[in-house]
Order: sequence, then structure tokens, then C-alpha cells
Amino acid sequence: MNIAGHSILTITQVANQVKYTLEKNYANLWIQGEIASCKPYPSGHIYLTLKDGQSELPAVIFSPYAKQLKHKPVTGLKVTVNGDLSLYSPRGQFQLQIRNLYPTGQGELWLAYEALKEKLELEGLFSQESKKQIPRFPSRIGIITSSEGAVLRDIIQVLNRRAPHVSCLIYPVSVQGKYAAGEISEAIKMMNQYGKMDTLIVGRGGGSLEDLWCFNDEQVVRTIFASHIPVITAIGHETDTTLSDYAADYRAPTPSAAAEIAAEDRQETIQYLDNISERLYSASKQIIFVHKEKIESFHKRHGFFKPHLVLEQWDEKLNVFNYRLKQSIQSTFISQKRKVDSLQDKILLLNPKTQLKRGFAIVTDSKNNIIFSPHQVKVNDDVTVQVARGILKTKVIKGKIHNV
Amino acid sequence: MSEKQTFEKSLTDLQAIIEELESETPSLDKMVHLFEEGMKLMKICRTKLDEVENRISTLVKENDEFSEKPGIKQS
Repeated sequence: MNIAGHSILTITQVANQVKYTLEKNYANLWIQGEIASCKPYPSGHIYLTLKDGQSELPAVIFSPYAKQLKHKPVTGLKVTVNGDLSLYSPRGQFQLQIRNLYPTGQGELWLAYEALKEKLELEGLFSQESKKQIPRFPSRIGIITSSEGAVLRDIIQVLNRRAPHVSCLIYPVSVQGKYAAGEISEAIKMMNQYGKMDTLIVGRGGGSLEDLWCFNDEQVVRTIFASHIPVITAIGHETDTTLSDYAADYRAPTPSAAAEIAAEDRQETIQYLDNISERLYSASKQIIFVHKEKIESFHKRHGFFKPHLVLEQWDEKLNVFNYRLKQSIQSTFISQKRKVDSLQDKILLLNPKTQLKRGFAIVTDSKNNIIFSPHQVKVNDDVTVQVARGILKTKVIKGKIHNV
Repeated sequence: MSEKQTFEKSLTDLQAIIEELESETPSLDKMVHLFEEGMKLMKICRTKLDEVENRISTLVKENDEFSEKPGIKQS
């Protein structure tokens, strides 16, 4: 419409133009503020108001983004958010459409995280094609983690149970603090240089965002990617995904799971070998049979010539070989079965529960350390005695050291 | 046993032998050779699996030289 030289706009036209301008000029903003109010709707969208000392900003988190939030927005929380400005035309109100929301202090970390993630992704560090296969039957596994703590214990426990034939080489590193990133990448490089390993496990237990941050370090991520030895990561809890996890050849949800992926179960491997043994035997037998048939038909046709003497010799050779084959297979089977049985007995004996059933007890101090010597406790210390059917809480009355 | 004749490698070789025996009919000499090779690899694998004690060691770097110390050592 045009009146006296002025172009007249409809409300919707104005709204659309403003919306266009906002979306074009105010895309992908990072904004810091405090949540003044916050209301989730049944639709899954979350409506909030952000404020600072002077101003307020209406905002919305649409349900697909709301579902992926790592931190729940609550009133009063100081946050750094990432999103685009737009206009909600039915109410003529401009609003920030939030894609990511982080508690302030963490916002800067995440901004760096997203930027680095994008960069490394473009370089192909996370691509599926460059993932190396984890060997199913390793001889030796390198473990890069803290020498203290549950991670190493869990990994070794699972490997002891599943694959006692696999040996482990530990490279102790700090897994938090300012030296962690340097030590971890150094460890991965050294393990590669040292060689003699089939798989590397890089692990750390759960912790705060800052604790896990060394695994988002560019150098660490690049070293994992560059490792010639396949790398399994087990970092933090299942919900924490670090850039190291993206670059690893396999990402395990827990240290125990990493150990399970790293080595095939011994008993299953034995079964598999038994199966191969059988196939080796039956295939060979079949081949002998085919040759024998050939010779026999030859024998029938040419039996009246002298060559039949030669053929009979062959026949006999075959029979002897067939017999030898059978013997060798059977004896292998029997000796293997005996070995497995005796190993099982040994393993049962090693189980502490079996020892408890025989009347032995395990004494631990208040920090759950097993007590080997009276040195470890003082009179009046609380100790726990574990017996076959339960525990006893008790105090130390007297200690005496035996010289063994 | 060379460092490269690992369990994994032995098993792969073993599988190749089985496949050869199962898919074609080689001469008797060839068969005997393959069978014996197979038994040898089988033995390597079984021996590896029998090394029960889980050898745990720590890689330590001293004066630019690596060495392995048994058990778990503090960093």
C-alpha cells in the first residue's frame, strides 16, 4: 500500500522484517547473565528470562535442545548461553532462542570445547574411517591412568578374571591438575615409542568438569588420534564425553567395560581353539578320504599291472597317517582338558571367599585397607573383620608383631 | 618365538590354514604340511593361554632409558 508517497506496512510485514534483521545480525551469540525466571512447559520447551543489573532478555529453549542440556536451568543461576535472537511475532516480542546453556565459569570452557571440537572434526580426527580395530586377542595391554584409585584396580580385576594370560604394562600419570594433559600425551607417545603393546587403555574415574578437562586438551586429543596402537578410552561417567573419547578408537562407558573390550574371555578362546582343532582334523580327514577314493578307483582299473604294488604302499601310508592324526588330536584334547580343569581348581582356591569359608578372616581398617601388620593400626582403632557369613565391627585391644 | 608371532597373528594364520583345507583339496604332501603347521600354531596359542599369572608391570623412564618394573609403581 502506498499513501501520499509513504509505503504503509502491515503489522506482519513489520514483524517479518524485524525478525529477518534480528536473525541475520544476531545469530550464534554467547551471552552471560542470571536466570530471573524459568518455566518448563508440557511441550518440552523451557521459557526463561535472563537479566543483568539493568536489562532483561526473554528466552526460550526449544524441546530438542532442552532434552540435550547438560545442566538444568534454575532461577538465580548465573549462566553463559549460546543461541540466536529472533522475534516471536504473535506477541511482538523479541527472544533469545537458546541452544546451549552452561553455568558461568564453565561457559568459557564449553565455548573453547565447542570451538576445538568443530576444528578437530573438520580435520577428520573423529571420523569413523580412521578408527583402528581393537585386537580381540592381545598379548599385552598398556594402561595409562593414575596408579592410585579405582580405575586401575577395576581394569586389572577384570583382566585377571577374563584374560589372565594377558599381561599389563602400566604408565602412571596424573589425571587432573595442570600437569595432567602433558603427562597423558607424553605417556601415549612413550607407549607408542616403546611398542610391544597391542592396545592402550586411557582411563579416569568420574569427576567434576574441571577434573576431566585435561581430556579435552588439544594435544591429548591429537596424540590419541596419532597413536599407532589402538586406544580405548574410559573417562568419567557414561554421560561425560570428552574430545579424547571422540578421537579414541573405542570409547568405553566404564573402566571395567574397557577391560572387557580389550581382551576376549579366556574360556571362550579355548572353546574357539577346540572348534578350530576339530575343523583341522575333519578337513584333513576328508582330504585323505578323497585321495584314497582316487587311488582305489585307479587300483581297480589298473590292478593287473605291476604299479598296484606301489599303490598299495601308498594306501598303507595313508592308513598310518590317518591313525597318527587321530592320536595326535585326541592326546591334545585330553591334555588341554586336564590343564583347564586344574586351572579352574587353582582359580577357585585364589578366590578370597573360598578362604573365608575355610574359617579365615579379612581385617580392614576404617579406610577399608586390608591389615597385614599391627603397624597399620593403633590401640582403640575401629576395625572390620570379614568372615564367611558377614562382618564384625570391633576395636583393637592389643597388637603384637610376629617376625616371619 | 619372535615378538611379532603374537597370539593374534598365530590365530589369523591358523584360520587361513583351515580355510585352505576346507575349500580345496591339496595334494597329500601339502595337506600334511598344512596340518603340521596348524598343529604348531595351535600349540603356540594354547601355550599363550596357559600363561596364567597376569604379569603386571610399570613402565619407568630413567635417564632416557625405559625399563619395566614388576607390579604397580607410583609415578
